[in-house]
Amino acid sequence: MKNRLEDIRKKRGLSQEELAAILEVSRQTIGSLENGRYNPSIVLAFKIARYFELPIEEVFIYEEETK
Amino acid sequence: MKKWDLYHDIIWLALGIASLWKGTFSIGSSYGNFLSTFGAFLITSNIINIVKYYRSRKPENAANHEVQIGENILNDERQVMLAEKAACTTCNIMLIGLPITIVVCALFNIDWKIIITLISLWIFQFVCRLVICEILEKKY
Repeated sequence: MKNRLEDIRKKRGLSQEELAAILEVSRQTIGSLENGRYNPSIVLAFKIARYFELPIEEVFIYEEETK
Repeated sequence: MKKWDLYHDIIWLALGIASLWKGTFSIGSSYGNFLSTFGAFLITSNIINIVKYYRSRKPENAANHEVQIGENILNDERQVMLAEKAACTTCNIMLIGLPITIVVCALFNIDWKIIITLISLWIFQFVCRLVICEILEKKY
């Protein structure tokens, strides 16, 4: 799953630390999300989308795995 | 560090002192040597932990300690996922590691009591995994 978290965060002028504090997760989690190494739970995905006031599909892009 | 960690360390420290005390009465035998070494290890590691706890409580170290807590937020889902994965991987490694240890012990003619203990541990780990899996299956 891809995401536009880094772009959105930078547009809002937030640092990884600030976003992590808002979402009550660690800075490393934000880093891993932005690098695409970690897929968030549905709860965290909604929390992120709600914070940025965007539909979840605009933040996270689901791509079906090719076999 | 939380208050519970301190109580935890004190319990282990008391167990270490008891082991060392019991071990000194039968020093020279393998049982006494084991108890003394185990006791000394528990005492040293838990004294270090208790000192760490009191150092983190000092006002001049409190700010740094808060930063550390902030970096490792307890309910951070990624940290929880990593801890669960680490525990699962360790369990899988142990399920392979224990039989290998049993075979090695058998080849070197090590005391049968140790081999039986290792076999029991391996069976316990395997059964425990199945039981927990069943419980989780019903729960979720």
